[in-house]
Amino acid sequence: MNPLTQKIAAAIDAHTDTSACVISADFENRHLTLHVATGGAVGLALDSLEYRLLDHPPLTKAELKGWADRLVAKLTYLMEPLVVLELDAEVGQAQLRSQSPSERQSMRTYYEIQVDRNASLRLARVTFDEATRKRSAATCQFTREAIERLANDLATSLD
Amino acid sequence: MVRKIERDANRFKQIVRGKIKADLRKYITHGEMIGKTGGELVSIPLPQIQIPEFRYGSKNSGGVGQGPGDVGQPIGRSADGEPGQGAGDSPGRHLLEVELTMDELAAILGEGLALPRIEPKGRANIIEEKDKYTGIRQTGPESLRHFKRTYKKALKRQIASNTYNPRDPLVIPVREDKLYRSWNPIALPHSNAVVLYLMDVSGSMTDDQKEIVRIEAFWIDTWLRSQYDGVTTRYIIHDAVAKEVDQHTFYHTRESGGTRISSAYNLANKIIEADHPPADWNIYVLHFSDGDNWGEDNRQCISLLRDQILPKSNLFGYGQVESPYGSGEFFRELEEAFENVPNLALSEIRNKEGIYDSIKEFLGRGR
Repeated sequence: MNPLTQKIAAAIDAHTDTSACVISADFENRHLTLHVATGGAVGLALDSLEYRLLDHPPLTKAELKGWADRLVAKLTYLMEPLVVLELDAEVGQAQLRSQSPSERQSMRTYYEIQVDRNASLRLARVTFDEATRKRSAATCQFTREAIERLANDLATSLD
Repeated sequence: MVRKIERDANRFKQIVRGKIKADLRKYITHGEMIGKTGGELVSIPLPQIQIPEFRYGSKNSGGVGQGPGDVGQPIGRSADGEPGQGAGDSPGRHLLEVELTMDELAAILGEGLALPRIEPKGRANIIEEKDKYTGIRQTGPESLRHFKRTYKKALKRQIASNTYNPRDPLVIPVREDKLYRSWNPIALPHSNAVVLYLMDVSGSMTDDQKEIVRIEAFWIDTWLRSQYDGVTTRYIIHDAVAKEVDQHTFYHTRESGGTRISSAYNLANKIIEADHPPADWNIYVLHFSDGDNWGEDNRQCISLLRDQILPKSNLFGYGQVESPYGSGEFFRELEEAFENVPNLALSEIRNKEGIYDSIKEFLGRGR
């Protein structure tokens, strides 16, 4: 298990109540932050997840694309396969989303990962409501195992 | 006098028009008509029309017959036939296809959607000179000789000079009698329009969304062409960068870049300034996107629209085509930034069914 994974698992263990909080872990130059909406014994509901490689030189377009492609290949356990939707070399950002959003009643929900050239990413979930025709942030429901696996994959996705 | 065949043909045309008008939403939505355009004509399949015709009865196969029989003998019935054996292998009945001119199609669209006719703006007329044969001269080529006037003048001269004999009514024109048709230049106001189609081709725009844009652009084009003498169409695609392309590239390109709508507005503005001065042209800018604009670009788009594009355009239309991820925020941004701007039309197109109402929203302002 990657040291970053061990650290975030320990941080989640240390957080015993169910209230909203921020849990973070560092290993070497890797920094992982979980914005927790609700905690629990089995899993967590996250508002977002942020990962960053500190002091990393800016990624080139090819590196950015490579990172985005590796994330798509690795993160296959989120129930919705991801796809690199847009890659803007000028701004230095790539946008990944669920290939097909999940539909429930009048709601469409999907993952959105914003990957930045300064070696950082942000994972969140978005809901589109047919009734109000508006998008809003949704929580990502992850089991502890999924979070640990995610931490491990993120830590090894960009060296 | 109108011949019967012409009357019948006109009646048939009326039926066809009525049928198309009744099913206009279906024709617009399916987009099947676009592939059937050939120059000035469009052919439309009309499966529902039954043309009245005489049919002969089936001879010697049942029905009332004649022949020897006794009084009271019941008339026999034909035996029930065997049921058919599944699908046949011969070709099916073809749909009836009728051909309409683009102008007729535009007229049907106008009636169907109750579209007001467009009033070309202020000085947006280019004066074109045309020659019309309205004058008479005493010199000219023989091919333009005005026979009736020449004859009258010769007759007058012969009567005046007492050389005309009613018993031998021979009129011979001399050189002075001859009159010729001549032309006068007539100034014709000639309204011109330019339509700039802008489309987001970033990775988030799917082929289905582009198909919606293609169908909508076809109908808007058909209407505008019926309203102006000359319509120039220009195409701009954009992701984070905008470029001008031809029609085929416009509909068939997919990029993977991010979305920066202001790049397209900048390019459209440059094209207008360089080639289509607003004083001489009726300018239409129609933009289609899924509304997923990146970063702080919305603010720049709004400022470009307010200061540059809207003051120069007859109409700016923004159609937000819904993607599998819902509808982006750009539509709301425009809605909030521009309230009751007469030459700004906003439309959210959820799917192909929404094209009909979207066209009405764009063209219903008569601008």
